[in-house]
Amino acid sequence: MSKRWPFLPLVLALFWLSSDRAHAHQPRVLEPGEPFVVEDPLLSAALYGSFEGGDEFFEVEVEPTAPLALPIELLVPRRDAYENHRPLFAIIGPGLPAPTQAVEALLPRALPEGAGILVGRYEREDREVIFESFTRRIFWTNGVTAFVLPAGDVRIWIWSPSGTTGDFVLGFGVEEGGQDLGEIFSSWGSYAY
Amino acid sequence: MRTDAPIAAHLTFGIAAAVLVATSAPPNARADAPASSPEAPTTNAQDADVSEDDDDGASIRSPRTVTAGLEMSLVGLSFGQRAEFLWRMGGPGSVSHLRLHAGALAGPELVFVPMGIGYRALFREDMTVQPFVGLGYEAHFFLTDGPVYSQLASIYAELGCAFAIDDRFSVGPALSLDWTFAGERGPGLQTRLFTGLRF
Repeated sequence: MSKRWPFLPLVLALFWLSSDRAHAHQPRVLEPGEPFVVEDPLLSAALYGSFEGGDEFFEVEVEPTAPLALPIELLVPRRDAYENHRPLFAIIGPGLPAPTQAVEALLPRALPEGAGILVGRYEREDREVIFESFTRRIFWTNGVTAFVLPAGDVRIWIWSPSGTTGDFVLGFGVEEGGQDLGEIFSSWGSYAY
Repeated sequence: MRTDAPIAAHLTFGIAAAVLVATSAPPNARADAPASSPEAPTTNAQDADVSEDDDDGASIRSPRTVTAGLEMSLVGLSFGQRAEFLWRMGGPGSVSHLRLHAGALAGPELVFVPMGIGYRALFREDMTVQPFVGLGYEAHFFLTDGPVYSQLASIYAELGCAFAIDDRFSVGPALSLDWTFAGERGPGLQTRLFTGLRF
């Protein structure tokens, strides 16, 4: 056996080096009209969705027990077909600033009574490009910004103000958690393509 | 930089078709037939394949192999080609091969360029069915028409099987799994259909 496997020790050493000690985003799929409930907003998450008709509305529910600074970004796959696809996200919650008329005109629906809003803007007109190493994909990003979420019932809305169609990913959170491989494989098409 | 995945696919199919046409000739080049046998006439080129003899008098094939194949990367969707050069290390009967390889795969978001060096254990080299496993290092480059991203220090493991058509040509599938453990970490998975040529 040793004659046939002269490199066995090297092979074992390389496998040991390559052992997975990393944890990454918790990928999930967003469906329009089905609010997605975030159990732990501190865990890093990547929520994949797609505007098939351009008029869909996606909602994420978060309920911080105390004000929480949370980095959030909105990604779009960097493809020629998505050159003009610029969905927006907004944080809706108690105690946030009241919307201006311009912001109200952007919104896909009326704000709940007493709620304020923060809109995630594109920091650069040409949009920053990033490489996502776990899915090996290239995305445009609006730029990571840490928003302070108030305690209580907070919603994140995602919509396509120009009615463009295409995919997007909402990324947020800080701490990295383990992967649910079963969920990843069952929704592979959403994450990988 | 614009890329066109169908061009890569056409090139691969073209090469594969040319190889298949070339291998459709009568299989009289099996080097285990005696060179002087009237039933197995050989040409000079075929004689060149028989570079060494083992104790049983059977032929030992050349230690050099090149392969080309159509490949699909499932993490970072892309399609294209990968070429390999294999050098059998050690004497006749050794399973150990040095593997040098490079590829270019185009997808909707990027062009994936892997380059690597590794070890391959190829078993049953004189048989029709030749399974292999391998392991090595790969450098990954992800190109767009804007920034270029690299994932260095990747390790790959591969599994596959070559089916010998004759002494020189083979075809087969292969699967490789990689993991970037330094730099921007992440997994990779590629599947490939290849055509091999010993020379």
